[in-house]
Amino acid sequence: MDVVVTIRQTGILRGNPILTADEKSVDITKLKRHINEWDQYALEEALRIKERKEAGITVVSVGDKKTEDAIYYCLAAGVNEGILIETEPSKYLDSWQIASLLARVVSERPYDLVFSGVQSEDEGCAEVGAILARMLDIPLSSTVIGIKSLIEGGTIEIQNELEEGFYHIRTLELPALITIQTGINQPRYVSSLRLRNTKKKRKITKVSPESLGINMMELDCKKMPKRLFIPEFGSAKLELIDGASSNEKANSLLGRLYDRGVL
Amino acid sequence: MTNEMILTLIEHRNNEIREVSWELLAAAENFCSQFSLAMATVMLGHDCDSLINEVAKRASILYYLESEQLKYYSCDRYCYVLESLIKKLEPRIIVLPHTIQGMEIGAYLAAGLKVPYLPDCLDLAFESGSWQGIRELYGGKVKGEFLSSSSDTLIISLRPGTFDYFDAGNPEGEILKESIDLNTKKFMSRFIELIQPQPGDVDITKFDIVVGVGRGLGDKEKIGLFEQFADALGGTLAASRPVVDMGWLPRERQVGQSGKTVKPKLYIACGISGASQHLIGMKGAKTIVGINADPNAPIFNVADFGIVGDIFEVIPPMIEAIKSKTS
Repeated sequence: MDVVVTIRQTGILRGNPILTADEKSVDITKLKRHINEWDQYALEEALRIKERKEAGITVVSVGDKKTEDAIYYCLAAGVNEGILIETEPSKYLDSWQIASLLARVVSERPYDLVFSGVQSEDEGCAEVGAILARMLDIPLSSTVIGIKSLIEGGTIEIQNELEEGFYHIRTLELPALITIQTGINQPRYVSSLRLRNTKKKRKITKVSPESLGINMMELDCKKMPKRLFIPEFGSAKLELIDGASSNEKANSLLGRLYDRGVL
Repeated sequence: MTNEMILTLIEHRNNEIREVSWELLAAAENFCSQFSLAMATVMLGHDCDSLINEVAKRASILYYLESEQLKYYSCDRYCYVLESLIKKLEPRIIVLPHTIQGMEIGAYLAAGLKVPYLPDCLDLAFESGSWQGIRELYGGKVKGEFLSSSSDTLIISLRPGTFDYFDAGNPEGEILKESIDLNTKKFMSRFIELIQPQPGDVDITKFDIVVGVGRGLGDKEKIGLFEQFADALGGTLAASRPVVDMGWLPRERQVGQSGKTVKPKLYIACGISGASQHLIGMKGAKTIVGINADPNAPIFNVADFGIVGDIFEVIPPMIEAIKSKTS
């Protein structure tokens, strides 16, 4: 069984966001990066299939050279092959462009299942998986929180999460694409020693869009950022409780809550 | 050539119109007057007569596409049926809710029709020949204006909880019912079951005071402190998604889009950054307190009172002060 996992490396935003000079994206060159949280769960779910069945796992990502770190992490975690579709650093790519690049690589290989994370921490569009499924013309189910059964050459039965505590159970014929929701598993920990050893021993398959026959200048996009901005802090009604110590802040807050009659 | 019409998809589940559908109708009405477009709605389902009458009281035209195979939502069937309706009607804008169902339909449908899609938007404008959606990035820490690649057909999904529902008092709308035969088409998915929400050990929606804990908790062992806090207040303990994903509290305690919606008198968010999925579930609380070490945390955008600080330093003296006051 062949499983493809699509991953994205995202910047970890703590503190004040810094925008690029053209104000079209967040400058992630100064941020630490990691594998997008949802994709970590997708990776783990694929690894668990490999532990139960004879399966080969390929990870594919679109990103700049630094994305290699994310792919080495996947190799260290146990995937068989890691493919980086290398694009220019800090270049904005919309979901349609990312899905087009992924589709080109995935469609040229054997696959039974494609796993994507539900959404990314940065853009939060929740669309790459669905566009990719449509481009590959395979069935899709999103926000999957459990795999009930998996029959090679047959079907996958999944439980997917809806709002307010409802769930659906459905089967999809293979090959299929599912997007993985956080909480489906507990992603494993990969030690830095293991990661270092992997970087010494293993190789990443690197491809350029051109080598896939895609000219980035001509690749369609469906939406583009006009301008990003940092929203103003706090609501109009917000009262910030200040104080010299945590103790003082705590008592001051309680006082305000008693005054308002909510305690 | 597109028709000058906005087509809004009505979402329903478990024989109820979902609240977000009414919000969408209000938003679509707004867009219609702003962009001089006509309003139409579409609903897919089976045996939904009482629901379509409810919708028709609010919408001037309702396309009701009916088939036994549309009784429960499935992406492939919904998109297949919607695609042919959209090709027939050629609406200028298709409005969807950015719900789990809506986000799946939006991207899949847009990819099939090869039209622009602006997901999870807070508002829509038309600027120098392009549609422009406002959306949040990085869980609300950044906002952006995004342009569609063409000015023709647009699919947009709107964030639930963003638009206030109002009753425009429309006259009885026209229902255009069509039975669709889907039996000749082969679909690659099969519906098995709709699982109903489980009650759990405690109903967090019944409490006047709710203490919510988030990722800032850092460690399961620290839950006890917040249980004490909730007890001292006479309230209950709830959580944002990451806490539940880690298995630190059961799923029934989760507040947010996929969990419960609470509207207590007081909600105290401890170490919760305030992702939109969480805010949907608690922003109806009468008084909201946010305690977070990160001054950029979006929780402060909905809070009445805020403390920028370490929850482990702020909560213990609060517990002591409440106890000494009540004893």
